[in-house]
Amino acid sequence: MFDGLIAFGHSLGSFLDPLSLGLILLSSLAGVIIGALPGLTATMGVALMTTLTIKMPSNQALLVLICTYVGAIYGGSRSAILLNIPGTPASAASCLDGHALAKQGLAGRAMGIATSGSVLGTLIGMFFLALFTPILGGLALKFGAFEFFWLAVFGVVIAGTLTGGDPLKGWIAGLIGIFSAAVGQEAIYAFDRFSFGSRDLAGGFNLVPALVGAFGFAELLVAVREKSFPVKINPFDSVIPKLKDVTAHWRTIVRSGLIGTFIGILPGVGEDVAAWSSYAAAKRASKEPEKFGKGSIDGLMAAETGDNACVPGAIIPVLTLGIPGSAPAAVLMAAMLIHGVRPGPMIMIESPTFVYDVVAMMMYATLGILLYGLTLTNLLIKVLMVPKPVILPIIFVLCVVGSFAISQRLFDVWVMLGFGVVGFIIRRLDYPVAPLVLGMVLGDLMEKGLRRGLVLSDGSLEPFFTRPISAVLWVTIVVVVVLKIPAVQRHFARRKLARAA
Amino acid sequence: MNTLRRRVLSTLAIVALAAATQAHAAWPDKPVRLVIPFPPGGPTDALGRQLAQALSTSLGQSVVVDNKAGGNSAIGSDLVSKAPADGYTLLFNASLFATNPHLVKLPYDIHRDFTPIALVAKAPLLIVVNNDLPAKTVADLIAYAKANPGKLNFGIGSNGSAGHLAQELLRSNAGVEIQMIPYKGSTPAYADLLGGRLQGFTDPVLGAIGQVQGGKVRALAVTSAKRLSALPDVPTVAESGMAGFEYHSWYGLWGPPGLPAEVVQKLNADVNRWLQQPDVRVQFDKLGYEVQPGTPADFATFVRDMSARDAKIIKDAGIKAE
Repeated sequence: MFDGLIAFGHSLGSFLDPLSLGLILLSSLAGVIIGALPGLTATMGVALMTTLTIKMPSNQALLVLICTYVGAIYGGSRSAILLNIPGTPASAASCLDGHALAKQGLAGRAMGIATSGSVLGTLIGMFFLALFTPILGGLALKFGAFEFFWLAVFGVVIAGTLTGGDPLKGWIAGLIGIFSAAVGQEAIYAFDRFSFGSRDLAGGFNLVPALVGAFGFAELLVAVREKSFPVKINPFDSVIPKLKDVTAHWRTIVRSGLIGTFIGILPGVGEDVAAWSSYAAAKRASKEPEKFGKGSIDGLMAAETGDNACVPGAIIPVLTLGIPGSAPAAVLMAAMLIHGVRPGPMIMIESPTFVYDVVAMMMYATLGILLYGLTLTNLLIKVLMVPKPVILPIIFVLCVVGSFAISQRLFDVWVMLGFGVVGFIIRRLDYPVAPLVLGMVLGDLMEKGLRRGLVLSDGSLEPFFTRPISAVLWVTIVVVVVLKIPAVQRHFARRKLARAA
Repeated sequence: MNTLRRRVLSTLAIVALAAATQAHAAWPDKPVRLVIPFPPGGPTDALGRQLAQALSTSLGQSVVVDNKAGGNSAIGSDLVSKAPADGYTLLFNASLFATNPHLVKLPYDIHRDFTPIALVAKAPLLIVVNNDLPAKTVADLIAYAKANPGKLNFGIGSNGSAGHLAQELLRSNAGVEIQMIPYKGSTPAYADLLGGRLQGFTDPVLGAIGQVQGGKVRALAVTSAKRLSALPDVPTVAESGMAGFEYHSWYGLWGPPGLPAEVVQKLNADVNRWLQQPDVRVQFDKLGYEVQPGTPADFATFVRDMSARDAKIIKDAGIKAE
């Protein structure tokens, strides 16, 4: 323990030269900008930086990559709050309450919450990375195909109940999302599905254009249709995170930090799922669940804490098992390999202080986003005061460029427009957009889990129900669904009344 | 206001610039994209990234790795086969490139729709098993499979990958039952192997060696003709009672069809020169990688030969096309 502290102090000190500090400032800023630009994801940011840092000494290169990673996951909240476009898939959940707050003139406060949530989330994840890496690495191995299948089903079921209103409508939206994920070549044998002979459809719907469409472009359509009033900036609004926001929501922060770290550790699910899970859990625990989606501080705090806590979480299995916990962590692992660091079971033996180096890099990345959270926001808020005829075309261009940039396919722009129109229509019909998007994220995981599980068990469904973690998951799902049946709800309401009488 | 608009516009300009992929006369006068049709972190990705780094130096332009995973490497390969033949989009793929046509319906022809550039390396594979499996040797494994039919689950990084075919070869040679579980890349397969849901996996040395040295999995045998200098205690499959057994994965570089001859020559020469560098040789020797420098025409012949060999294995082992 004491040795650990000394090693950590030593790691912290090793970056205290002007060059490293300059790199921290630059790469955190680059991360925040990459994150804030729709279409440039954290994964792409880390990949881009890997190429740019190839000639640097390994510790400085990894410092740049980790700062970019943390910065990008945080930066995505900017466009989510201000424009309702998730800057990266990780901040889709932040759109719901973040943009609602901005519409109420509280964009500054929303960004302050995003800053405090992200900083604290990273710190919570870092705590586990520093102290429990060897123990927690094994956790990733407890989850196999069977568990991932239920986890995905659980996600969609919970998403249906997320945004209030009729859960049935939420589940229908979730099923549309799962269906969208099934379009294109399936992941295992590359068999074409729903492609109708089109090469573009065979490539499937990319997540980023779908997200940018369903949130950003749909929002734009709403804005065009509605006669809106210019957003008033609340004179008491401030981007400085409020201590009260942190102390009043400490339960949400701790819970989301734990969930985010845990989701991070699991391979195959990343920051986006971490944000949604924390959001869903916060809603269940909240005293004011009806506020979620309409500008709930709790909701935004949960989403922002969860996705950033996922970052250190995702690095835990990289270091112990050589298995990345999320997509950007996979690129980070590839970069480690290039720089001659072999992550995996050998790392504790070959370079035992490396874990502390990574924690120190994470620490500096956290300071980086805190700095930009406090300084870069006031200017950005003015985006909200730009008149509609000026800002809407810019948003449209951002949506198009962001969708195109991800893989330079014109088809992705059509996907963005298509999902925008669908998102607009279902919003008008009072269906929630969040489950649709989450269905797309989880559909692939669900399918792979089910198919791989069935092959592993020789076609038997039994392990899906009898394995301990699976059992907990499916029982929870059944309970959630049953509790949403109107007749059951009436029964409980009557009992409550009877008891009160 | 004006500053804000300028900021937004300049940001857009940067994005647009990054996205632009136009052809130019003097090649290469802008970054080259190297498509790796696998997720980051696996053995193909690792070697491809090393190559990208080496080419960046020799070409004087950055070579940017673009992981386009999915569809058994078909999605990334398809992208390159339809890219403009200007030398700014290249493909780094593993041996399943040549195996794929016998297993899946592809949107391209592997010979007609690509320009072969260079063979990068031939890599042996390690057969590794979960530590809880009683088998200590290949012979034990076969005995175990015979005694417990239907109990053995082996992972497949990609359908038709070298690991898959080596396992099929082993299975049909021994005449035992091994269930093959398909994964999307070797990384998730390791999660299940370490978690005990898979009993075994056959993977290029580069991917498996860390897990073996860390004691997380046990290596039963290596598929090359000689033992590895990095793992001198691990026998070859041939030593373990299957005389003549040898199987390699291999990696190569391709471009879109009709790539200009001078671009092909330059890249081929650069790859071959890189392979001769002492530090590369040392590292490759440790992992048992074999290098066969050759012309683009040699590589084209090699791809045809390997494709024919795999067609035979697939037919003999009775692997069904999907």
